[in-house]
Amino acid sequence: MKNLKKFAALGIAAVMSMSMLVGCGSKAPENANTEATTETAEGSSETSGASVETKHHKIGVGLYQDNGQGPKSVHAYLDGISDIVDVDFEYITMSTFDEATNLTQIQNLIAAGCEGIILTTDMGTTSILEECASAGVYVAGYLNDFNTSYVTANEEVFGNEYFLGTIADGQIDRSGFADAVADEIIAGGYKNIGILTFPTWAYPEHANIAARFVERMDEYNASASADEQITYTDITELQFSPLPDTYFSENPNLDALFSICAGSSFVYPTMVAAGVENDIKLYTSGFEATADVENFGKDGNHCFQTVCCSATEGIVYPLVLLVDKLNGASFSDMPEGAQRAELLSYTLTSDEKMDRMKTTLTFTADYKDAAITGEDILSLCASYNADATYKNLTDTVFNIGF
Amino acid sequence: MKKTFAVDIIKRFFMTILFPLVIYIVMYILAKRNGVTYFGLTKDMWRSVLVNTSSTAIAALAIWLQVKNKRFDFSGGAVMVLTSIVAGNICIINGWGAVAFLILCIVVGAILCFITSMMYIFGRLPIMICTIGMALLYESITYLIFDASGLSIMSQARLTIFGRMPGILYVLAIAVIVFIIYSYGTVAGGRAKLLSNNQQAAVNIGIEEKKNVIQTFLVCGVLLGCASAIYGSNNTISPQSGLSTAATLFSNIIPAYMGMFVGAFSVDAIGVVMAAMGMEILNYGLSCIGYSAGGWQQIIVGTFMLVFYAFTAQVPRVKEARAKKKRLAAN
Repeated sequence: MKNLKKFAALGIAAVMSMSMLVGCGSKAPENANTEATTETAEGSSETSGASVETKHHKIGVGLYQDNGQGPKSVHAYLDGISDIVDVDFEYITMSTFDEATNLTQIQNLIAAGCEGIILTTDMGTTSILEECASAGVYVAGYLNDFNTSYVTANEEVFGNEYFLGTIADGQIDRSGFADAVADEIIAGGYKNIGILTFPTWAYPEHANIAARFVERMDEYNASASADEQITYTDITELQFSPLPDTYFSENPNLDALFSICAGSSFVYPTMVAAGVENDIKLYTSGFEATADVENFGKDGNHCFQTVCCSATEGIVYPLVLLVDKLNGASFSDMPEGAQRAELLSYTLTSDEKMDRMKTTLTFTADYKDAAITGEDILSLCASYNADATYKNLTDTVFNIGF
Repeated sequence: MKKTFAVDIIKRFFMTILFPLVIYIVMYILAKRNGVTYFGLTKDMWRSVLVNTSSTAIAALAIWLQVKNKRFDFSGGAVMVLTSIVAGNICIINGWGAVAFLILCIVVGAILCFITSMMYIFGRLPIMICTIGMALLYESITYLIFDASGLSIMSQARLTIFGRMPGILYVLAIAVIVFIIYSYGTVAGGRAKLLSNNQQAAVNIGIEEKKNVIQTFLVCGVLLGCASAIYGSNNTISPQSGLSTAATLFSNIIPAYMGMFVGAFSVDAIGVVMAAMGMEILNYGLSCIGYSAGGWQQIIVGTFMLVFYAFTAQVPRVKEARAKKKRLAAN
């Protein structure tokens, strides 16, 4: 009993001593942080030979995936520019279908001290904006035309002062993609074409692209002889699941597929399983930099004839809008309300274009291949360059693609 | 005597193939009524059905091996994914072919399952906690190796022979043979059965449980290795997290339970394969008549499964009632 009391006393004394030390220690890092913040609150970077005083910010980036070519190149790019533009980036992975998950992720970013958020998803944007507005955090879109929000919740989203605008995944009107593929298919002499899209409720633009493609086929058929006519299937909507096994039995004579739905992930595996990858050409949106590169054009099994994707550097658009907003600056020619800017996609229709693609940041995920450097970004910001204009920003970002 | 034996074999054979046969006939009638011409004996259909049957059946065998030993291994999917990534990338780096890929998958799968069994035995953890923990660990490794690039070998024909016809059937044969030999042809398999029937009694008569757990996990690793070779050959694999790999394995669970009843007239391994074939014929048929994906397919398959389980659950009761009736009649 005596020993027990001694041990208890020793234990309590040890705990008290530790808590005192912890208590003393807790203030030190706080002070250190304050000093560090003071030191880094205003950094400096050199732009075109002139030194620019930058303000430090923290911005959250919500992407659909946490791996793969897209996220890899985004991470590489933002890591490369982080010090130059004096912005720390915090990443989250968004859900394509769960609004509650997205809202929770946004709350996590706000709790982590993010002053602005760049989003690739418009699932749950209205509630996300409510959350951000109450926390004074700004939101901008990336590789998303926010079509669903634009159609169903325009005022709540585009009329919200905390939503700064978005840059679409390619052009808002993507009929140019349909035209490019139609030209390739006609030139290739393919006669039986299958058409695949994602559901219209999720991607309204896909139906327009398919309609434009059908229109081009009909135009061609109107002037072509009977044996040169091109036939095409009804549009098949993939419900975010792979192409069904039965598709090639249902459509046995196909010689090309026009896929507006990430063909590398959703169509090509079924083609391989059905053993038709050597017989049917695939013209598709999306870019995985795996099988679609190995089998592109004259390489591999020659299955992929066109792939299409957007430049990673498109993220500069929402980033500049956020940085300027946080710095309290604005372009002299800034349009009223949130805008939907657009990118010229990388539409790869030849081996030469694929070779050129292989030197881009989107492919290499190497910052040294970036078309827009950190210094360029500073010169695009109204807060760091008095001569910067909104038109210059949209033109610069738009013209990265080819 | 010989006649009785022959009749018995024919009866057993017929009863074993009855399940896929009935589904085939029903779906054939439905497909023809819907004007579908390619359901039946077309090469495309059977290639698709057999490929899917093989991959589903092997994964189901791996699940069933643990379930019949009263264990539920949540790390199986993570083992499959990690095995595919490791074996596939090693083969790409060294320029090895499909046979090396298959062997490597089996070896890596067995090693990972061995590690899981060690954690289970020496960690003294409940099987659920242990396998979920190991699943999370294996998933996290997928981000740390090969620059988190996962695996994409679909297009490399020389590496993916065992993901296609007819190579996939060899893998299925290996898995079925391994399962049957272990379960019915080895002392370890017999002991595993004793342990699952009455653990305390089995231990009391001198069966070493720990050794048996390791043996079962190793065989499960071989089966998961076979499943990995097919999975890696037919899919682009990304790094995984948050127990997402559970779906990779457990999407194949339906034939594992069905196999027990379908194989009542043969062995459970054959039953699992027949159940997998029946389900794949059902899926292909539904796809033919326009229910390839989305809600309706899930509703139909789910309802079918429930009815099947509800029906088969009555079989022991019916047997018992018949036996009781016989006993009463005899008295």
